[in-house]
Amino acid sequence: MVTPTTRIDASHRIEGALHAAEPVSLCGHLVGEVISDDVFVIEASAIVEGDVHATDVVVLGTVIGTIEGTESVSVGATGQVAGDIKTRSFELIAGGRVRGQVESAAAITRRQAGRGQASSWSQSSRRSAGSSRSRGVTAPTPEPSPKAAKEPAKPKRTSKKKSKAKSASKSSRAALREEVELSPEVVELDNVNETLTS
Amino acid sequence: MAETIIGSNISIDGEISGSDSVTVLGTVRGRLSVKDQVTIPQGGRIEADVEAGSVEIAGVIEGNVAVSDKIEIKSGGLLVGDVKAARVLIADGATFKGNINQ
Repeated sequence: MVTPTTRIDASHRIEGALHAAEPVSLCGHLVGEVISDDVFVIEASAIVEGDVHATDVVVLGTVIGTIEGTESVSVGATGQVAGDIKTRSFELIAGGRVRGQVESAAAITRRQAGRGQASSWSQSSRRSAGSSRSRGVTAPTPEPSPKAAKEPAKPKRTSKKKSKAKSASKSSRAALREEVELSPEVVELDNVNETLTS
Repeated sequence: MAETIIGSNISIDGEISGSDSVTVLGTVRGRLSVKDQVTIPQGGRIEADVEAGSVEIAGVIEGNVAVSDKIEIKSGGLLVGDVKAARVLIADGATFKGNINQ
């Protein structure tokens, strides 16, 4: 990992907006918004009360607010997040806590790009989504919930609809919209102790 | 080392408070209040009122400065604002505009 040059010490408190274009390591208390073009590390002693927007976000402390990581968000074993997470690549280490919605936008982009890959990816993602929906899971073994068991039927329906739409109107835009609507990439996590890598 | 370093590509709009020392290489607007030393190296900029144990300026401060011990404006440093300090050092080549209250 890159060693951050900017460090906010544990004894310090910032109330206001922090704009950064270099790696930041926060050990103190920040009340306000973070906008960064680089890595933002919330260390174990740190508390953020506000939204965090950065390229890569590492949470080892506490965040009360929305996290948006354009590349990745990682919640470590000591990390706690009360708020929604939106990112491309999400990682939750055992012990880390998330109370909020996790949205992985990368999946939608991939589905739009290639359909062959999309069906296999979406099945695995749905399975992981199903397991994380069951609250209080401690082991990462996927328990196929009734919802997950039903899932394989969905892609078939999608492809049927897709071919219909193609032959009928040949409008790829309509098909795309359908795909996006049928991809519930929103995963609710609550006290989940497992590692998710997308 | 218990110290806060605000890098050259960082800007903070708001209030920073705490006990340990702070080094500002970037920009701080609002208010800065610490018990220990505040250092502004060349390139650093503070547009805020500063309260600290001591202040060392090689960059720029636009705002009033109140220190319990010493304020030092180094060569190339700029301070525009009133100063309240026990000891004041202004080096040759430094720029200062304001009142001094000891």
